[in-house]
Amino acid sequence: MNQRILRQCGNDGLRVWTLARVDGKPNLIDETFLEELEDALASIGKDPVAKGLLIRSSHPSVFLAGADLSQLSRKSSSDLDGLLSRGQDAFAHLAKLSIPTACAIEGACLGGGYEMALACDYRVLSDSAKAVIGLPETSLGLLPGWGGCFRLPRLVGLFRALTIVVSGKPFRPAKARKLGMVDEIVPGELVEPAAKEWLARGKRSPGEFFFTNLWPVARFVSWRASREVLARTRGNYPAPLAAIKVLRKATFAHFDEAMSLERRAFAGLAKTAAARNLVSYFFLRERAKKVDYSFKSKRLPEIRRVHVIGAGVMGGGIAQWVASRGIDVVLSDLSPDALSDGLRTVDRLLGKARARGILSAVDARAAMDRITPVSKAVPLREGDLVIEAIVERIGAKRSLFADLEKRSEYDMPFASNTSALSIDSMSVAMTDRGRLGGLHFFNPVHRMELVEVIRGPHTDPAVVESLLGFVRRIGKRAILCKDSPGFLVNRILVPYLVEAAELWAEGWSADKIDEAMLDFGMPMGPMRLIDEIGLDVAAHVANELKFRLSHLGSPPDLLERMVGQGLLGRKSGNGFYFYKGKNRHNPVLNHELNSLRHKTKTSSKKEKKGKEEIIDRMILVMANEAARCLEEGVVDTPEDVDFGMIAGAGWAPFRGGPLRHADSQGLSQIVTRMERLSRKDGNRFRPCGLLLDLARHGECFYPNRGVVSKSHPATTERTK
Amino acid sequence: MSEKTLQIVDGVRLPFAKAGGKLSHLSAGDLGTAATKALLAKTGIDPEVIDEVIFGCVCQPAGESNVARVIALRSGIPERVPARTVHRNCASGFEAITEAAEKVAAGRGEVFLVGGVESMSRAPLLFDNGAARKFGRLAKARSTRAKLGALMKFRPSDFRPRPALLKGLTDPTCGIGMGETAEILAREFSISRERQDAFALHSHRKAVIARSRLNEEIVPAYGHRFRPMLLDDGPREDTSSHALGRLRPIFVRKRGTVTAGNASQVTDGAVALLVASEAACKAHGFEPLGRLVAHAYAGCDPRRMGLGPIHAMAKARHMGAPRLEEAEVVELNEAFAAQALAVTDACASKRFCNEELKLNEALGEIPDEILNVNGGAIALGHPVGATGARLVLTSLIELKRRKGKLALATLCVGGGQGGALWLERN
Repeated sequence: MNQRILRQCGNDGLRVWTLARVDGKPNLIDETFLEELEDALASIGKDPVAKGLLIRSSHPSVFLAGADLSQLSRKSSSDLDGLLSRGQDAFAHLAKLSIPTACAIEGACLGGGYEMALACDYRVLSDSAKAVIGLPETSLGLLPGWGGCFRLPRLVGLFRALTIVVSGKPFRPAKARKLGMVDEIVPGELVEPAAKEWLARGKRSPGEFFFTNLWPVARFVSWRASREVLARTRGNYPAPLAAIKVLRKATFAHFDEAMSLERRAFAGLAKTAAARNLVSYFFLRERAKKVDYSFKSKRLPEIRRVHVIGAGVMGGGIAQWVASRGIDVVLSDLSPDALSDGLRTVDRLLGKARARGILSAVDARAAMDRITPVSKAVPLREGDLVIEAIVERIGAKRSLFADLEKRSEYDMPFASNTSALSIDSMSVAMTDRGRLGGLHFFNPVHRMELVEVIRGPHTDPAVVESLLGFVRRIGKRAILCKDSPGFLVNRILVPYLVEAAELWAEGWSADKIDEAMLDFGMPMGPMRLIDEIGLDVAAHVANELKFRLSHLGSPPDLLERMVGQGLLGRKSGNGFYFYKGKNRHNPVLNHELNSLRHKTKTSSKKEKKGKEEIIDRMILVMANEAARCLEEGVVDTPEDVDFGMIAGAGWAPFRGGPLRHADSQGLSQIVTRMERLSRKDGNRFRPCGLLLDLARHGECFYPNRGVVSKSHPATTERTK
Repeated sequence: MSEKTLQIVDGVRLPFAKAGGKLSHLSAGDLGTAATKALLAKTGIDPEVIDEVIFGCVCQPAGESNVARVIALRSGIPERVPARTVHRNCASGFEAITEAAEKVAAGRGEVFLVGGVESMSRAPLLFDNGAARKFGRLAKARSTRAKLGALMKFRPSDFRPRPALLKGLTDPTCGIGMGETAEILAREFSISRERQDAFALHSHRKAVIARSRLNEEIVPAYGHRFRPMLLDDGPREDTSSHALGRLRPIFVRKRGTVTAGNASQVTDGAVALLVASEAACKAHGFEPLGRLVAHAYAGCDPRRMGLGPIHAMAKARHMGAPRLEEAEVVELNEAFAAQALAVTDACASKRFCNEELKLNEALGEIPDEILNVNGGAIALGHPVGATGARLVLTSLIELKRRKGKLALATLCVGGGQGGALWLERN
């Protein structure tokens, strides 16, 4: 038995429950926990001398992490209903105890954990950096199902309850106090004494009055909230909408009625593909934390300092991220002017982090202090890591690494942040080619969680291991990729963008294409994305990739012509959209382009057709490339592909990633559609061997649905 | 040479910026941190091996008390390494070095990070004691009536701020300003205005010519909005004896000779040096620039504080330092042209050395070819706490360039002192 609630009795009638797992892992709410809780509740109900109950946790950073998702995701719907009502009943029992109850929360208290805290009279939170509190269920496609929807609006008012539940965000102590989620914020050491003081006040007096809990106001605020959610998610995410409805109804319902509302809504959501995919994405993220590559090789010393070479957008972004994670950075570039730009980038990012309350003023300055700008070559020492982020020219990179190698006597790891060039060809001038690997960060570095760790054919396993460890240490998540053109994310993204440009060249309007993909669930339309990247850069990368991978489609000539005319996207103020003047942040379609197009190929008759064709072509071209990546062993598992695309490119998370989405459509179905398209539109749609194989045998990428496996038998065989 | 000599491993400084100018947005802590970080990166030294951090600073910032500790922590030097700020007015930068030397000699540490910082832009404005008392009374007042009463005591003159800089540049014992001490020397040694201006012009010319050479000791500073500053902004290419001659005396208005043009500039700056014992150099594979072979501080008449260097030189000589003519590079701080000229004149004067220093012969002449060859404080500026460390750095780098052996760095100190450091290239 893993889950334990240790019960202690004080002489003063105070009962203390300590949540403590035998294995020392973070506390979770599973069936064993509920059993323990029921048992404890039964005995305290019979305890005549008990005067108060204090709940604490023995784990240093987690109070109670919520429901055990792996257990939850395996449940059939009737079992699920049983688990829900069991939790609801236990928490109801806790709430109905005649003695005052309080939670002394020192670490994370999320989801079901916070719902248990809500069932207590008082909540006291520590002010430590680890203390976060919230109801993240909607971000997993679910909703609070253990009484949270009933209790939260009564504690903080419907309006704030909607904010808390719909955002799904974990809140830091100051914000949590402001929202009324907890009663007091105190230094960690004082959490328990403070909770005892609250207990001395007796049971909590009946709820305050909230203006937004008046019926007409409640209707209005929930209507507003739904409208906002719809505008943001285009109806792709059912959970926040369902949560809004349940919260509103539960505000006015009786307890039992509210509980059954919660259960019904929860069960309904749990059945949706969105919830399944979001939960599996949660596991993909957890899995990416643990990417390992342990060989029996020597271990490199821990990285204590990072040299970021090149102070451009990426270099500055990496320097800021690494420095704010407490690691010293030497930022080098050729001229003080370039460094000045880099430092300004860092300063701007730190300013943003401060404004958003992520960093304090002191932390932000400390991060800036950790960065040393240098414009001359400086010595390298043991414990250093070099991350190169200079111009994407192979010659420059080759000589840089050769020079770096000469300057360093220790066998420290080197990494390139290249997005398109080959790691292996960069290392040709080095004596020990094993020292070079790749660390591909995505732009903007502070927002993108993914880092592709690139293992070239010569890269030393010790270097790969060191790079993976480094990525973990700076709080990013890694996928391990083979050194192949575009690695994983760009390899799949580029054909998608080329296809978008192709559709546009055929006569579709840019906003129609973007609209279709936004509806599909992408965070940004492909045409806007090309504008953001810059047409010149996009065309260059596409051609580069096409040069190395002949099966890809080449970007339409129109793109080159636009570049020739100086239409470079956002940076030139016009691309597919127009960004000048008042349209700077609110771009409108660039109508001037139509003349460019009419002269070339098709009329725009097709514009009237539905968006299905657009989505179909765009998604198929990606699914094909994703399968090909797996086939070629760019990454090892379909999980890596899906996680990479969601975390690195914002691929619609509720659809589970390109491969899981392909699975859900049926591979044979997909292959048929691809073959039809390839007859009409060309080779790029011809399904790859792996897809054909799987489809022929009626298999799929994820044979055991819903559960994330470590590896995939059908594919690992081929990749080895 | 003894095993316990202090080796100066390497050093860097920020470009010196006119006060209120390009670096005025940075505090002394910011300046020192920038120089220290650049030095740590340049030398590649592991900060773990540092035993102590010592910085000189004259106008110690109220918000960064013990600025050396602030610099050490912000530069990423481990928390367990102690740090302290030293103060001997203009010799504070010297003091940091000689402190380290004495610690090494006593076997109390091997590797030190030393230097000097000064943000003269950030010198505070003060309220005088009378006003401060009134503020105190106001803060203590409880009732509205008492508060009102306390408020009524204020007079407009109470709100006139007193620049700390001006206070600092006035000798507290004899009550005269530093500029006036220079005027005293100018009169005593009959140093004409023309000679002072010519000296100042020469300093600017040398500094302008030496720009690329000085670049060797300078690392870029990033000022307001991270605008890079690459060179000292004190040296003027366009100055002329005519332009200098038109300036009005500022300390003694009537018949005075000391002007803003022939006095050192008010400047922000920071210097950081890595110094270590010989054993530590061997252990860590450092290749030092040179070593400190002798040093002395000496006191003198505060009213003639500008003569401090001579007293210090004589004392150093007495303690076994080389003879003046052995020096191949001399860095004599130019607090004032009159003061620097007085020092060179006095050195060469048998009578002065006889009467004042009780020596049988003159200390010696300082030839122009070796004196402040890259310009001095009149051109480069005089960030008071940092200057001493700069003199040592500049003279060692010049020594290396000239492949010379011995250098003398010396300066005068407000309050009537002088410091002299003899450096030898390894």
